[in-house]
Amino acid sequence: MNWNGKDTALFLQQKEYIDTAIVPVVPADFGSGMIGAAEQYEFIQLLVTFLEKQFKGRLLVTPPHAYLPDRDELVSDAAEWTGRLKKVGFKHVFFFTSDSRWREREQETGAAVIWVPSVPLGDMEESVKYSLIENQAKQIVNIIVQKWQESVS
Amino acid sequence: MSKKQPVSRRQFLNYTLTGVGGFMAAGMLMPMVRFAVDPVLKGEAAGEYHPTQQKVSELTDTPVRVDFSYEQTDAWYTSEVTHTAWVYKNDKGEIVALSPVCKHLGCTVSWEGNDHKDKFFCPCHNGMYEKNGKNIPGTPPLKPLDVYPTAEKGGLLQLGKPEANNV
Repeated sequence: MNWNGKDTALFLQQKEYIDTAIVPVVPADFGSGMIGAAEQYEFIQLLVTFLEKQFKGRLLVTPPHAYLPDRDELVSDAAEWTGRLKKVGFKHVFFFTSDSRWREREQETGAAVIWVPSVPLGDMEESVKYSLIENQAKQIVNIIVQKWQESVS
Repeated sequence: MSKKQPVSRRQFLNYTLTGVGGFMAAGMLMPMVRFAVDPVLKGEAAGEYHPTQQKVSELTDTPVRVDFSYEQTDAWYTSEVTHTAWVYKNDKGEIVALSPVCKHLGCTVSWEGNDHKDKFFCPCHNGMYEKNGKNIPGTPPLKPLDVYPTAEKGGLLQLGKPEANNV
């Protein structure tokens, strides 16, 4: 499910089936790291779009959680997101990010952090871009399915 | 002197005004006529079939994944979208192209996914479909998978817009 009116309405009806939230976690760096931050955003968004297509009926893609990279409250803000998502019934919360700092602090966030090193997509041709994202996403598909199976058994 | 003028001033003005007026009227009417007949002309060009790279001669009775993409306009944003179909030949030799979009909540199903033999499997809520797209009772989906109308051009498969399946 995407973050739009139609899908969220369907989500509210079919809540029992949709137990997974995907949060794109992206830095909002307006200084020297701007290009890198924008590239990360571009990459993560494409990846998440692909996953949404595969698992539309079981996950909700939330609006991106944008953070100011030099702020100290960074992790506690993110933990707050996890807390609220779990409160409304999401069993699995995934953070998607290209910033490796989140990986180190996974415990504190309360979510499953999936760290994917970003690739500058720039002027890449559509078909190349698509197959690149698809290859990355296939590995993540397995991680997600595994998490689902763990919770069943 | 008047006999040397076979065309009078009045006649001359009449002719020129009619001529110029005619051109102006034609200039206005032509586009209108063109707009009016446009839907008729458009109807002839392709029935909204999208080309794929799949050779029809290479299809067998095992479903294969066929990806195809085309330009789609979403409000003012034009993008290239990629769609997938599961294509095979049935007992009668007809081409069957099924949409991979699960009729439950829209996940993507795959052929023999998760080791379910001779079935389409949906990883989200364990939905299952027969090879012909029929949903298996007792699993979440309530309707069979949609089918694509198929066409062939130059040996390559073309797919239309998915329709409800009546199996």
